[in-house]
Amino acid sequence: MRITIDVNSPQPVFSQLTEQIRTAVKDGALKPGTALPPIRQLAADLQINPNTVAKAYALLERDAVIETRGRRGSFVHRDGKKHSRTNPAEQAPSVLGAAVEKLREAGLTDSEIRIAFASVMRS
Amino acid sequence: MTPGMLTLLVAIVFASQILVCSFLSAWRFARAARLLRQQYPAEKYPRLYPLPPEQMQRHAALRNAVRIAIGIAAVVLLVSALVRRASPGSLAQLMLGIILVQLIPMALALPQQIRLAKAMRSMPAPAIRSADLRSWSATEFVSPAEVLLGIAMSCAALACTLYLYVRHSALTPALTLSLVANGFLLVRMLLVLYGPTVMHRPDPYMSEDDLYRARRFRMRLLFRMAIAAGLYFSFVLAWREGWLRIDGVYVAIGLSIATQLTSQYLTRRAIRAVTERDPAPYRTDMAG
Repeated sequence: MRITIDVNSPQPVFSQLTEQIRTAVKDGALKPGTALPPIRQLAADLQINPNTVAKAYALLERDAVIETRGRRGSFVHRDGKKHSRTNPAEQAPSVLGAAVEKLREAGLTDSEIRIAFASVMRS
Repeated sequence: MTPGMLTLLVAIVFASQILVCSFLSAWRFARAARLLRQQYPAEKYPRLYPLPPEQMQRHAALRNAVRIAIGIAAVVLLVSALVRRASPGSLAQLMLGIILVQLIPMALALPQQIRLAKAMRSMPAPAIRSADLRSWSATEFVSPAEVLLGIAMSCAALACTLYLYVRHSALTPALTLSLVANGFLLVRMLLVLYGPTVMHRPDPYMSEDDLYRARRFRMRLLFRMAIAAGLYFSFVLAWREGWLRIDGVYVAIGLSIATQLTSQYLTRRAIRAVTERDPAPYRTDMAG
């Protein structure tokens, strides 16, 4: 199972990693219990920052697609196939869209909404 | 074996050592460099030449000239020793001395090899990159027998070293060298087997087959060096203590043969590195 990234793509590298690993688990190319390469090794192979791989692994672990067993490394979660079918990140546009619509109905301009959003993100 | 026959045996091994380690290796390294230039010229394959090609050629030519000069000097010394009817022992000592001198071209090559390796590794990587999404283990590259033997030989040499240190209450240069060499190799092997070791890509453009071969070479080199170092130090320490009663001449012959075999292996590998490499990723017209 090979993973391919394009550093010139508008999609962030960590997002490319999570998407491909998630797809591989969903399609059965990566079976439950399969060991993933260590963060630093995958980063060295792809010649990217280890923090990028760490972020991708952290997101996949959050979604229970993979699990980390301490120093033994990261493995595909036993229920990874089930968990890989849902991606919490995909729900963000619809949730945000509903909030933006509500604020527009309340009379706020798009600039005011953007300022409020930025303020919330900073806090 | 009579002294005359022993002298003849040493002379034959010595002559073979001069032929293999000086002249044959010079010819093979020159052939590898020529193949590289002819098959993959710098204009079409610039990524194979991260250092100026003229500089690389100049260094290679200088090292080969040194090899040949050492070979010629060694022939003169061998002939004069035979004319003087040197004893097998003094001829063997001369042979061992020449082995050390024949290592000079390798020492000369080291700084440039390090510079070349750094330059290859730091080339800007292509935009599209791929990797295997699996965890590898050392036994994918090295047989379990070599792993076990490497660790066993290192431990044996270290045990020998520590025993002799306790026995003599003194850290001689030989013991120090054994401790450092075998200790380093043992720690490195254990890190590779159990620790957080990262194997970096030798260069960002290498094909997956070449990457696998490069990693396999590095792994095998580590464990085989451990076997060789462990065997060598165990043997030398035991021999110097008198635990093994072997005439030093035969030890010298064994060392010479081992050196010749190593030289053959390294020079053949230099040629294979050119002929077996996938050159496609290094072309100018390949997307970066």
